Amino acid sequence: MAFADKLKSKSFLYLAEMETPKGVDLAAFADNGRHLKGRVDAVLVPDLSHAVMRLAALAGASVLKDLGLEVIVQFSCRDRNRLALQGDLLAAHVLGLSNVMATAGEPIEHGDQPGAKAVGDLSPAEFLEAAAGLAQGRDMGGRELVGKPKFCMGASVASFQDAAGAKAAVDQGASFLIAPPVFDLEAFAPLAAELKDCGATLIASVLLLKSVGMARYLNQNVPGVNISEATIKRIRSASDRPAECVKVAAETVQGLKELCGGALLMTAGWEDRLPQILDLATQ
Amino acid sequence: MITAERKPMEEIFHSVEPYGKILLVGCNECVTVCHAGGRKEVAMLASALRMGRLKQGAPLTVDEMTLERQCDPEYAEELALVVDQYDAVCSMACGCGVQTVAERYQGLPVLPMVNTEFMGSSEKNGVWAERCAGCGNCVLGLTGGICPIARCSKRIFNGPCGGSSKGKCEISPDVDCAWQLIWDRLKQLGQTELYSQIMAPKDWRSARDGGPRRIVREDMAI
Ligand code: SF4
Ligand code: SF4
Repeated sequence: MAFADKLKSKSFLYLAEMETPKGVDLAAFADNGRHLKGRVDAVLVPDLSHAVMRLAALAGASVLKDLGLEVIVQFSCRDRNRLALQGDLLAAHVLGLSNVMATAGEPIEHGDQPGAKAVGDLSPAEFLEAAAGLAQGRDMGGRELVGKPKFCMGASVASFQDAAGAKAAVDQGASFLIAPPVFDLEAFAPLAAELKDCGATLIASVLLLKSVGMARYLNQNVPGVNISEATIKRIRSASDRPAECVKVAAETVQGLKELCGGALLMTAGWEDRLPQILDLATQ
Repeated sequence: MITAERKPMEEIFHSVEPYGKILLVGCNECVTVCHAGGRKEVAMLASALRMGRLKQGAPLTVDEMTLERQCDPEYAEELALVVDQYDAVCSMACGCGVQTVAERYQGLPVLPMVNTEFMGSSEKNGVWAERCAGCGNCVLGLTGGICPIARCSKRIFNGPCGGSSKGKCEISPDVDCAWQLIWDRLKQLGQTELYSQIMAPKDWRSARDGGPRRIVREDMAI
């Protein structure tokens, strides 16, 4: 079933994020993709996330699609101007990749080529408008297209600041919303309640903690993240810490089923653990 | 200097529409030199606003004031004594001046009356041209004193783009090709070897791309 149709169904959706490799050896990437076949409703392919240079999202998404997966392609507004973004949106359609969403992109100086120039010609809101325009057969310059692309558009709640902003994205045509990583279900509940009937499916991100150090780092450096001491202690005192981290993520997914329409699993390089998280989360 | 041009009158009338009494504030520095927002331009805009609004049947009180330097909090302080009497401050300074005043008088709308354009110099009477893009790491010593960032339409390094023709840039026959100018000047200086040395891709962190910039001089702090 196409992702757009799944969004209309009332069931809880499972999504997984898969970073493309830094290079062209696709063996591990494809292998991880194969393990997700039939297990997730869509795979989200980020676009040069954390400003780290790697294989282009469109190519990675195309590889996963050929493996039979539903894919959401992300577009970073940081790296392309409106000409390139629109051209790549058309490319996405031609490649059969109709699920698209934009991110503003993390700061370049946090990435691995800190001297690069940022573009930022369009914001994610303007990207949605551009994609909606293309779907109606017109580009941003007002010119007519030969053949109209079709998109199922999404938006990141973080790019639109808050619930009110996210609703604006829905008005602009977003049919799914990706919320930032949830570590505390109670803290997430009000946002989930506010967006419950907004007309789009709210999908919460679940970031797999890989270590106590990572949890502490996120607490200190990422605004809005509050991983409880109890969770940190639980991971620290576990005999098999990675396995405990997998359990913590799976429990978060379980809890989210009551609150929103889906979960996006983010494993930051530990894509091989995705099946384990899914095993536990879907029990 | 920083160059600016007065905004179109239609836009100005629209922005002051909600107000009955405004203070129109000029600046004695760059915008005076480029005839956009000095004492003279303040007087001209003030009378245009008064007349226009009178004609609309909604008279506007416009008081005039020109600060020595609007981007300097010390001078912006001079408005403190009078500013409470106004519905809004309309600034004819560059964007730096507007923001200095807005930051100091938080409760008051501060509206820009000019469009701030670029850092440039005067080519001849009445003509100003862009010269520097404030990249934070000047290469003029390697490019014959001509800036490829501010003056090449594509902001490219290491020679022309291929669209340079008879010394002009491909975007318009009225625009000099910066790389032609650079080459000519390097030849004149006997420094053509600089041209053959390939400059590494620029580190844009020193420019605006690395986020909003500040200069902190510990030795100047009191
Ligand atoms: S190289 Fe940079 S600092 Fe020097 S003139 Fe050009 S933009 Fe200005
Ligand atoms: S013609 Fe010259 S100035 Fe114009 S873009 Fe090319 S190199 Fe730059």
